[in-house]
Amino acid sequence: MGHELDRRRFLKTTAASSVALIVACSDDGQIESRAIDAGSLDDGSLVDMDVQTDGGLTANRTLQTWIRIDEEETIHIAMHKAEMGQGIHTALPLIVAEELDAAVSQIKVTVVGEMGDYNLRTGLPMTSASNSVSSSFQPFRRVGASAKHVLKQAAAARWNVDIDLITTRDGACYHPNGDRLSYGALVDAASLLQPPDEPQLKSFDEFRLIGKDQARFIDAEIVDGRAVFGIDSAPDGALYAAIRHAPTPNGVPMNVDTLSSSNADVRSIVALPNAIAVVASSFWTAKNVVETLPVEFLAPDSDREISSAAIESQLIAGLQTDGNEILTLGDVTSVFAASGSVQTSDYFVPHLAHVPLEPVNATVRIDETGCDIWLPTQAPTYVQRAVAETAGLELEQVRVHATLLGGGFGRKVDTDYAIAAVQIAQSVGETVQLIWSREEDIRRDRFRPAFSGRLSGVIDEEGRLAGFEAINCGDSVLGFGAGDPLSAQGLNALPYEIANQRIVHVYQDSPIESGFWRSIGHSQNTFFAESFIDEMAHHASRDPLEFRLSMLTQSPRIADVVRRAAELGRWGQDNNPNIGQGLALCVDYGSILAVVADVSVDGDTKEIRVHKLSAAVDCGLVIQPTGVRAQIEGGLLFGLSAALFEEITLEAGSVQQSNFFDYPVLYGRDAPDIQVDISISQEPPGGVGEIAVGPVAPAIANAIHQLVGIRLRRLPLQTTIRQDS
Amino acid sequence: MVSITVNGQMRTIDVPDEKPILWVLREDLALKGAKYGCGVGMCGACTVLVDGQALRACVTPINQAHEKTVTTIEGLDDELGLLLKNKWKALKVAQCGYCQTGQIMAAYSLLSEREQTSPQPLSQRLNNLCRCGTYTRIHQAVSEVSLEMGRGD
Repeated sequence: MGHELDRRRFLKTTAASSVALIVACSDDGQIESRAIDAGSLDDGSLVDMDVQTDGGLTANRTLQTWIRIDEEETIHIAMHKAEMGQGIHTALPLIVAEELDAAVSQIKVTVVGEMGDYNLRTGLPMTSASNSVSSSFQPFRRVGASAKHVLKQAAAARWNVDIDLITTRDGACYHPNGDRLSYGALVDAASLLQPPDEPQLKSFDEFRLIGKDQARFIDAEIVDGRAVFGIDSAPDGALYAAIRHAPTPNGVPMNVDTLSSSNADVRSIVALPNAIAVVASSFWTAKNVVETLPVEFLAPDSDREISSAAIESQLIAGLQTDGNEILTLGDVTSVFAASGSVQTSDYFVPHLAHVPLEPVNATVRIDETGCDIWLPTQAPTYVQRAVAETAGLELEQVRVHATLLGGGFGRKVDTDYAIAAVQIAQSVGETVQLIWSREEDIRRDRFRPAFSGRLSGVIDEEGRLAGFEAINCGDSVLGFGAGDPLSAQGLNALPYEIANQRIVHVYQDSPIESGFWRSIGHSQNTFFAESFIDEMAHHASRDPLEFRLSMLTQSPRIADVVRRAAELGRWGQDNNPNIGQGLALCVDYGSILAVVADVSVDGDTKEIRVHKLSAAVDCGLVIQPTGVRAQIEGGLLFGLSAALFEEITLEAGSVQQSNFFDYPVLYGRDAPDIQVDISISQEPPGGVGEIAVGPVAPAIANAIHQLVGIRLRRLPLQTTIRQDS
Repeated sequence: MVSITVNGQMRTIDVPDEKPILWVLREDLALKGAKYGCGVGMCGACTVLVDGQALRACVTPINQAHEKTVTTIEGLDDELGLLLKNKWKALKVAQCGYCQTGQIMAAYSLLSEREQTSPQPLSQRLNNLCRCGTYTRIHQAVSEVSLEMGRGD
């Protein structure tokens, strides 16, 4: 690599009490290392390796994966992914510890953004799309293994024995005679060595930590109330801000200059482009005042035309218009033309809110050096850019402190709350924490857009699905217009062997903001597809399980998951006349999940009760079994909540819901029995955060059809069944 | 002026009588374990004990705790509190963890009742929201602690 320089030259010349070894993997796969002063983590001393080109490391390279081993035996693992409940701050460190043969007790997880200026050029990626483990698995293994290699090399030199005779465990090298040298004692010597780019990795069956449950690193803090979420980040003396947005999407506040408050705790009333904010010494005061000020918002007349009914009509009409051909296999048109009976069904799903239990919030301090912002975010780089732009600062002047997230679900990818907080802090010139009240969090969400779907199919004389067409219509969550691949996610790669397919997406802009909602396209498209597959099975007079399996003959891994779900859920085995069973499948994120729902419907009240969800999942290699199980359980319940209850409606341009009494989400008393069967696999690890969400709604709808013969094609199902009955 | 005993410490605070306990704890006493989730008493993320009784701190004015004892998650360190916290860790109940302090406070209140007064199972009597969907494990944790205490589930 052409940087065989004296690594020690780059140690700071100040009196260093000890040395630390950094090993990093760049996003182009090179392993690099250097020695540094083991200064404190926050003084920036360990973080400058990407800006000193003469440090032997390439400038501006993205170093997402790196660890630091101190002579005092602590192993710091830089964490570039947000922890929002998925256990990633446990799973990823364990991958390093596994290959490094570190003791779990010596691991310390540090969020990259908390390490001085290191984050500036590292391109902190988003935490999204269920890819944290799958994208980090190999780099984290290689960093751990490469660090272990130089430590072993240093031990071999110290003992003058062959490196292959040295074994490692629990953070130390062992001589064949039993002598021990801890990693910390080897840091100084190892830092002079060049780590290998292609270190020897363990085979999966050598794993000692991966695949075996370890304690979650953050649980002790959580149960004691010490875990720091964004909302807990306000420093002593900070002011608090509450916000009130215009009630309609394009409203602007008109009379802020005339507004005042007699409350002595109020410090300022701030006009924002689409809202007002009140700053006070207490959030409670700020919220009360902002909600009662006689603010006038001016909105274009067109805002008043916005309603759920208008949106639904538009999305259904959109199905008739030309769209983007997403996928064409064979010749659906000919198959449909030759058939006497093309079955067509229309589906619809409404706008949805995320409602993470921690509403969006951000704490901002602006001084002569730049801006510090503490917030729960899935996208620190977006925040950095947005803040720099808003405050008129250079990127380097924006220090993003990414906290734990009290739920993300895609909401905390967006930067609207960060921008508002910066605008308020600029206006008052003091440190401010902005919290969106639950009402604002719901009304001004970035919603899962409403979508319509029209699915058509033909069953041939052998009872096979000979042709399949799906058209959907809705907004782009990426803001890509018609070319957003996520709009067709869940339709564009069906796992089934269907020779003739045509998948079309019709783009229709939403009048309210759209955003990423856990499982994104699957949240509507898997409902459409897996409901319609079930319709086709019934049309062919075939069992829905057998019908699916007959289209999975070339996909044994998928078919196995479907069979195991059916077995776990005792598909067709219990003849309880009050229980219907439905099946659905989802294949994405490198994972496979099938679920059987056991459902009853009260004859009088039409109350839908989901009694049991039985899910089988193959997500490849499992890092933490309980963590995977938790993500599946949580994903199923997230899907269940939306399937049964959730709906955002609009009237005259305003969102009608504002809190849990009118945007009901699932309570524990309605949670079904959940069974999860996880495959033992040595395939590469896949994602599990989202895969369970999409298939729940169709599994329930399919069960209701089996039980009462009514096909529900609109979510939420509890509302639909009462309207349709 | 309001006088309360918070986690064993006597405190006198100069705040408006109607300021909710939640915001007094978070803003005036730097106790941030109780969380804001809805502000209307529906989600339970703010749950604390006032004289041993679980309350929704976001809708309970501080003057209702005057000369009373307030216990928050930070001060929940008696035998039952530790049983619950350890069970939460052992079963890995938490996902994001935001609601869990309130869940533990609610579970504590339920399990510390002298008599089991309701025929409903414990799982039906817990009324706190969890958006991550940890209910199955919450119910398991509460049920196991209840059994360990020699009570029913």
